[in-house]
Amino acid sequence: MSIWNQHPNYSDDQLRQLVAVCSEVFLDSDTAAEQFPPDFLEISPAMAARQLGPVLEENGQTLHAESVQEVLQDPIPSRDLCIAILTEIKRSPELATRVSETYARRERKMGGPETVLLAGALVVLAIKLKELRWGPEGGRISFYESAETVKAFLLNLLNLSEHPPSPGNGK
Amino acid sequence: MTELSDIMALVVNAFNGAPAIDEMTRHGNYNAWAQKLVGLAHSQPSAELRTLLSAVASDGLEHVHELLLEFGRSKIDSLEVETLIEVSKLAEDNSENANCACLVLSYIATQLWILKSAGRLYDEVDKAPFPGWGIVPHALALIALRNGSVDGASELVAHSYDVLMMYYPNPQLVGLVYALKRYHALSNLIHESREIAISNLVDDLRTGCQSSTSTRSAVAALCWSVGLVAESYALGSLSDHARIPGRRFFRNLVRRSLYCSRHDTLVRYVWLELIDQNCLSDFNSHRKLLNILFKMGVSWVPDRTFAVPPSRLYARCLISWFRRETTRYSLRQYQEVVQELLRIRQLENQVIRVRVLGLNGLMTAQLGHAVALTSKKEYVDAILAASESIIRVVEQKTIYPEWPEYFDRPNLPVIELIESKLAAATASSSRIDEANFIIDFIEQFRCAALEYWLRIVPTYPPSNLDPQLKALLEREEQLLREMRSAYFVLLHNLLPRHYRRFNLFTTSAEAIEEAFGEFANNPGSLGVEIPMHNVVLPQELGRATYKRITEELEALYAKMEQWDLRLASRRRFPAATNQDLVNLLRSHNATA
Repeated sequence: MSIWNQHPNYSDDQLRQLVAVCSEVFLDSDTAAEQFPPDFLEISPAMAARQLGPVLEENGQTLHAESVQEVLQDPIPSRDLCIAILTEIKRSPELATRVSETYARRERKMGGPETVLLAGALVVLAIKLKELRWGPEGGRISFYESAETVKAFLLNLLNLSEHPPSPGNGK
Repeated sequence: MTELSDIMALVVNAFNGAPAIDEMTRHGNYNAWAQKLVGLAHSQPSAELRTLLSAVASDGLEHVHELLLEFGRSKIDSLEVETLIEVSKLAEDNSENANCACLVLSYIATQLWILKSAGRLYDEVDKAPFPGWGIVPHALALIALRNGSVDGASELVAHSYDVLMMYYPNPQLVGLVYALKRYHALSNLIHESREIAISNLVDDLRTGCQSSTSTRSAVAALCWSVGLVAESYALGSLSDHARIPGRRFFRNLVRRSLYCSRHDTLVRYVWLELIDQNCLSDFNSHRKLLNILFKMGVSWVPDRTFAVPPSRLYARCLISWFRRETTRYSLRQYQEVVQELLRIRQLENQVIRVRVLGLNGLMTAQLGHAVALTSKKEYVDAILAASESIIRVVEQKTIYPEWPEYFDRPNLPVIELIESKLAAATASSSRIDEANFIIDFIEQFRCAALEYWLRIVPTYPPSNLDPQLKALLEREEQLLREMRSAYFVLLHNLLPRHYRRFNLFTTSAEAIEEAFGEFANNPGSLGVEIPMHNVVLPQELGRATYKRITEELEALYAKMEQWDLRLASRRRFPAATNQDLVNLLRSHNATA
């Protein structure tokens, strides 16, 4: 049974694991190896927000990096964002198969659960990688439209969270 | 410390760990939190606390403890525990919209709950925990977490979970599993929050190391102070700023140094200096993790009494050393302080001593003074003496398991031995004996850390035993069994609380009384199984027993020497020498 059968009703453990696996699959691609360091999965929400800023502002909007960081750190919007990305991944049969096989292999190894939702890493990878390829025989997948969908979803979340970052004012 | 003082400390830490507390203090009715607190005071469960809450709101947290005590003296008898539980629930339910106000409300409810327990907080009440353990600390921990008090929330949750686990599994306690699940979920939330905060700090430090020599030097100083000596030299000497260690290294450094800073003044001051020198892009964004550095009391006496705290001077001088900016003036100033510390015997803690004196060595070497001040032999002797002291300290940790973990902090003499002595000795065939000596010496560090395990698992005896030797080995086995028990007693109060519940079957009430003394609750009649609840085995008894058994074993091994010298030596000196390894390899090759 594929993990995609649970979509979008993942438990917290399943979601963390699946996000980590998706991020690894992205990072394993040749296109990612050209742009991202091997330890990219450990990127912080703060750094991810800084990397997303210029990409999100391509539409002419000015964004506070702290707002993006808050979305990536907050359990609820980050979960929604990850589910949106997984929905896009699921649309691509080849990519979805690669992810589900990697997920199943990982489950068999019983290496221990992921304890943190790697939202920052997955969002940056999903938005910046327009194309994925794995070696000369490994195939090539266009992720351009999905990346734009994810970007639009994130912008929508940012517009919904109206409060700009503020210093502690003792609310 | 009593148990009540433990829980009080945890509650206060959870509250004070919130960065917002500093902003809220001395801003009473003029700030939103106070108005919301007064609003909550008018809700039904809080009605009995209305006067107290209004007083705290207008006082601005300046005298919250005095107000609590005064209220407690006059009103605690008429207050019900259930009321305080309901107030905690109210605080938890409203905390998303009134974070700071609910933190204060929950804190007050928790303090009054402890006060109301009148010392019975850890007692069993009708085979259940004291009412409120599933709700009151949970509310405070959750709200403290939402206010950025990550460490405080974590410790409070761990403690409360531990108390409830004493009663698991008990199917008659209907709410127990639910309460444990809630604490488990909160613990996961805290963990995730901490990991995110650490990753943000890690990336800030890495970015700083790439762009600023100051940050790089400060981080190198932090590495050096936690014992990552080789790494600190590598980081400090890299000229290519783009090449810095990966995130995993920095994560380990941040975790370890923040853990150590709670009880290691040198590490703490390096962090404070790193913050003071603006090595972080935005300190406020890291307050969740770093606020604790400012909340600790000053533990080392010289830091309180000297005009410039020696730990601060250490931090500044070490960072300057990594920047290659040591001056004669700074060296003189540092040496004067070190001399004074030695004179007033404030460098008795070996883990602090090796680093303070080690920095002196680094600074003098940077200015080219090393040869002038110290002969090579004196230097080597000093390193060996420092190493011996560290070995004894590491051995002692066995019988003081409550001491904080050293990790690599005492490593400096080992690194120095390897870098300065071993490398030179192994380069020359005429100095093989010296190399052997250094390798054997370094092995003693490893054995010191494994003191208990090497003792408790002695080498196998040969098959044909002299009857006298057999008797000695049987006595050894008996003593080792007692040693395991003594070690368990040593560890007992560090283990999870459910180890404090056990049944004793006794045929002698007097034996129980003699063994446990004041800790014996309900020594019963002969042949009866006695349930013991919340008993902490006396650690000093375990320590004294462990030492006595060690001495008896030493005496036994001395006797064993006349029957089998090799067997006795392996037990008395478990460290493997270089010659042992060579002999082993030779016998292996011969067999092959």
